[in-house]
Amino acid sequence: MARQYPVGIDLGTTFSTAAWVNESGQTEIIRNSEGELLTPSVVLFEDRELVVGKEARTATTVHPELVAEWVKRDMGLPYYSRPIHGRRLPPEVIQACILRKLKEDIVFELGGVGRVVITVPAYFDEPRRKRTADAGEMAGLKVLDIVNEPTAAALSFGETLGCLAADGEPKEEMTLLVYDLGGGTFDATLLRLAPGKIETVATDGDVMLGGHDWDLRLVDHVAQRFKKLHKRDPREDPVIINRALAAAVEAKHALSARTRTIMHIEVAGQTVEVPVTRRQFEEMTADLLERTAYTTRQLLASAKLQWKDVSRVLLVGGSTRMPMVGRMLRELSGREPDHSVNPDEAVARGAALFAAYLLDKESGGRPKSGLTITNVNSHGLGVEGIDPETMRKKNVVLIPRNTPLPAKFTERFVTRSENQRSIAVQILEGESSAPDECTAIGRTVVRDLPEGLPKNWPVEIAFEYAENGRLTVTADVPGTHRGAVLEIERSVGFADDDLARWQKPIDEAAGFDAFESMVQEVMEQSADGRNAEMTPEEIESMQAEFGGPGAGPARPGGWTPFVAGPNPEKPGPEREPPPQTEDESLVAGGSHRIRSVARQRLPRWVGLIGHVIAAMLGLTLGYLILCQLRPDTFPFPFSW
Amino acid sequence: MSQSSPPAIGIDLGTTFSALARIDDRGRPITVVNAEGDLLTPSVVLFDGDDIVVGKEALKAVATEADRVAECSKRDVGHRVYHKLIEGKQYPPEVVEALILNKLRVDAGKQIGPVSKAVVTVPAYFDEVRRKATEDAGYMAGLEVLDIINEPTAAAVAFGFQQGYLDDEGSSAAPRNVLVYDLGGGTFDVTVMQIRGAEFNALATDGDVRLGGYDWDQRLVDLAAERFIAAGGDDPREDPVSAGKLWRECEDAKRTLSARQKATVACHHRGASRRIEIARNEFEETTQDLLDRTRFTTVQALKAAGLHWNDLDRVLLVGGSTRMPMVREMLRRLSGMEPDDSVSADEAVAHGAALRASLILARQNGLTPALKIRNVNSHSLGVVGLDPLTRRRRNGILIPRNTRLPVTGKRIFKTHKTGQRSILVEIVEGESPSADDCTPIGRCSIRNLPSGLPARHPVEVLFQYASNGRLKVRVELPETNRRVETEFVRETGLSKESLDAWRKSICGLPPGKRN
Repeated sequence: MARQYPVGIDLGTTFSTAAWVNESGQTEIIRNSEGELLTPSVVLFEDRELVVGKEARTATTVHPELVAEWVKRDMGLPYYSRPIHGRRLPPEVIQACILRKLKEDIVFELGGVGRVVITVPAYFDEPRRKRTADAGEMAGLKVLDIVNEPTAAALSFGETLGCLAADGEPKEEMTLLVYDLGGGTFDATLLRLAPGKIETVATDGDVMLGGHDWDLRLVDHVAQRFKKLHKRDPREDPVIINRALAAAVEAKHALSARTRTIMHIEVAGQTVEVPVTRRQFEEMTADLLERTAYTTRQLLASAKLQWKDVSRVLLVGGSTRMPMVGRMLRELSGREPDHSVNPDEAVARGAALFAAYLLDKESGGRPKSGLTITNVNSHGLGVEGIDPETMRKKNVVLIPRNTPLPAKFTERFVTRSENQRSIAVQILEGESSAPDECTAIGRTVVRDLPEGLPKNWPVEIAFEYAENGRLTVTADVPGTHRGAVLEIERSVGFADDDLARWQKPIDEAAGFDAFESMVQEVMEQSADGRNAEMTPEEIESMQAEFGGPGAGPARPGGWTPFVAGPNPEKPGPEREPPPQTEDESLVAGGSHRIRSVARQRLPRWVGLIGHVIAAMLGLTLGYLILCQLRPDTFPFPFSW
Repeated sequence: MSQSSPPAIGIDLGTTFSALARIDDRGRPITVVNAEGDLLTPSVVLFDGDDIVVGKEALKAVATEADRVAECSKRDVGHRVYHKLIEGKQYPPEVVEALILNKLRVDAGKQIGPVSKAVVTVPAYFDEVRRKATEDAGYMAGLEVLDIINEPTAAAVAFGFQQGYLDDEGSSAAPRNVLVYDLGGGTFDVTVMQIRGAEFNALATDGDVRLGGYDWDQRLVDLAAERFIAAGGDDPREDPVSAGKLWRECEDAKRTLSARQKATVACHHRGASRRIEIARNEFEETTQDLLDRTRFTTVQALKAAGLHWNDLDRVLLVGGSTRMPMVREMLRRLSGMEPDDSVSADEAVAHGAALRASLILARQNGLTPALKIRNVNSHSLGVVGLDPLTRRRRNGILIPRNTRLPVTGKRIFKTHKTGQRSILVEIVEGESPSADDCTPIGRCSIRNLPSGLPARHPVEVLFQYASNGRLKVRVELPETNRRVETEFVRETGLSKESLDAWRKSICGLPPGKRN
């Protein structure tokens, strides 16, 4: 059997890449079976074959209904945004198909595949990370860990600089900003590099912003032009959309090198020529760029750093080739952005280095390289509690975002009612204080509390977040010998029946027909089975299952600030209404809500104004109808 | 960027694609990707108004903006001007080459810090004029050209490095005969080399200037277009946009066919869209004659080197087109051994050039060079003289082809008439005895000869041909002690002033050091 080399996989929105660490400790990109370094993250579901990569991409403009693209953006949703052959598929299953192709290429190059590290955007939340790991397992890969893309990019940068080698001369400490604009996601991360040490300082990002959005602006541009000429919106036809998208991607690439280009789109036998200049393109996408600039500024502010503290700005992701990105960062930072890593390959190379690091650490304690990597959590982690003042549900953050890992935080809560017999602990991920805007990632219940416990009995909740992203939640009720422990483990160990079942259709070298029937089978089986994490229909029940079957009927206790609550002058006991019984309603559907930053930023007053306008319109319309029906009683207000 | 000494750079300036490699801190050659993230940069230049665009984007414009695009300029190197007008202007081909080199230099500079010293490769059949033009292109692109070496030699050096022949232990090994089969995008070359440790000797070289992967693409386009028509569509080759797209699809499909048994080409034209499936064996059938042409040349070259197939130790594959399984299969059958592709076919030449650059830099820093490269000249060099019998202009060959370089050739001519005060020496390149069939490469004249020289006074002409393929001419008149070492005036090529002017406009650098 061949030696199992450390392998890193950059599972990207538009392109995926795999890299390994060779015998001499250097990273190399693994060529795919088409002889290329990047594999398009596109799956073509043909009747007799599942095709991944370049070959699948040629079908997007001919058979869009058979092709799945940009699946990464739908990670965390129950289904991929478009039906394939009329069937709805979970995104992680499609991602698994891409990973299977990468796995085949890795096996071909290296003679086998050991354990792999897969990268995700720093801003991916826990459920998305877990599903990415699941996709790896479904593809038959042993997932060592899920690592953040900017961390991986920084590792690759370290390799280029030579500051990762143990024998390398000590390089100066530096603060690095990694600006990663990929095909579908955007991340900005601040890292501190010291000899043999990489530390994440802070991270921020947008999972719904990437080069694809720039393409869509060009498609809109074409559509407007087309509408003017042909009085028809070409966006109604998926074939034309894909053709326009292909032309847009080409034009975008062209405009990185040229100042103007012409997009050619064939519609109904006529070729529409749409000229576009770089300036026009930059104008129509200025707001997208500004979003990344805003996030970058926010990131610096949250790390309490200034531009002069940043020693280098590292560009990662193919979209950073657009001249506007370099210019914007130059203006922001006052320095020339760094091009010394290949933006397409840096992440995969770094992931391979990280895999080597983890394997070394596992086998012999200290890694050979003498390197330490510190990550931060990208989202706050908290518990749902009730604010004793307002009686509203509230997300109490225990581990704030950008906390270096590992971290342990304890918070004291109190029970809500007299003689409370059980306490449900709902774990949330997110910064917002409203639990509805956070992602529920797990739940545990402390049961069988002794009778006659007075109200406001303390409950201690401890969060322990390990480096590998494993969260251990301990609930302790002092003086009762009762408690609960919940481990939310993201990246490993989900080799349950479901994953094994999914593995079969993905591994099978068959077409969509066989795939579909197997998918159908798996979905049905899973719906019957108890461990239902993998089937999207059952995600809600998965949340309930975390605490074990038959969760106890109790609400979480109202919280009293103990460490750093917002209400320190009210520590005394308070009487609260008795708990309601239907606590499942609190957690329903929490995990499959898309949480786009863009949407969050849409202020509430926009919605409010909308309601007001709608109401006024309704009233006016009603009055006008009455004018028509009863012209005597209701005089028409205007004269024609 | 952290290195204090300039990085050793090798550039493979190809007909269709170019690549740049450097030596990393462990002494190994690695290819540097361009700004688009690709290892290879298409050797295509688009003159887009005030902008000059080189590479992938310029290639895309070939179909639609043909009058503003210069491609395959390497084929014209040595001529005065590029074969077509670009937006009404005439450009010397070496200026187009300089623009490509400048793009490579700038892109690499962004990643590895300033790039200045480089070795550039040329095909083995490149003559003196074209080598000089290539060197000039490097100068205009702001590079100090350390050396010009032959592509097959560079590939063999990269291979030798990988096999450890350049190490101390490897260099004492027995000589190995290697055949370098180089099928690039636009040209085909075959060279037989003898590697004796760190010594690389070319034995014979042959090639076809107008045969390359491009021709294979053309066949695939024709095949796809015919199928599209057979399925009821119009000819997509009629419309430049459709044809351009189809071309790119086919080029992609060609690469896929090297990995898979079939590939699909998406073709859109006049409202009809079809995915056309092409099987590998169909592709091989339709290109069989092209492959046969390379086989013929290969056999010829081996014969010229005086070797048989069983004398060969290795067959090296160079050039992206050798990825096609049909090429390997053909060579396997011819040679009876598995062709060697251990050095990436696209990158081998650039890697070899970078290794050469690092050795030159090492020598400049006072270290002894470990690598010896011996080339042969691919064309005979001679001087035009008058045949005393026929009064015709004849080519008097000083250095016959396939002579090992460096070499000094000497030949004695005689003055024409009594009291001759000046002599014109016309230098030509070519095998033909008739001077008119050869390529004039330059001339020099010797004036102010002592008066009263008798007719048929001997004039000694010396050619010093350096191993980088550059020529120096010396003329001596024995008995008069007149000796003229001359920088001869070239038939083609740019003057020093125009070189400096181009250099300023291409890369913004002031006039610099030249060899």
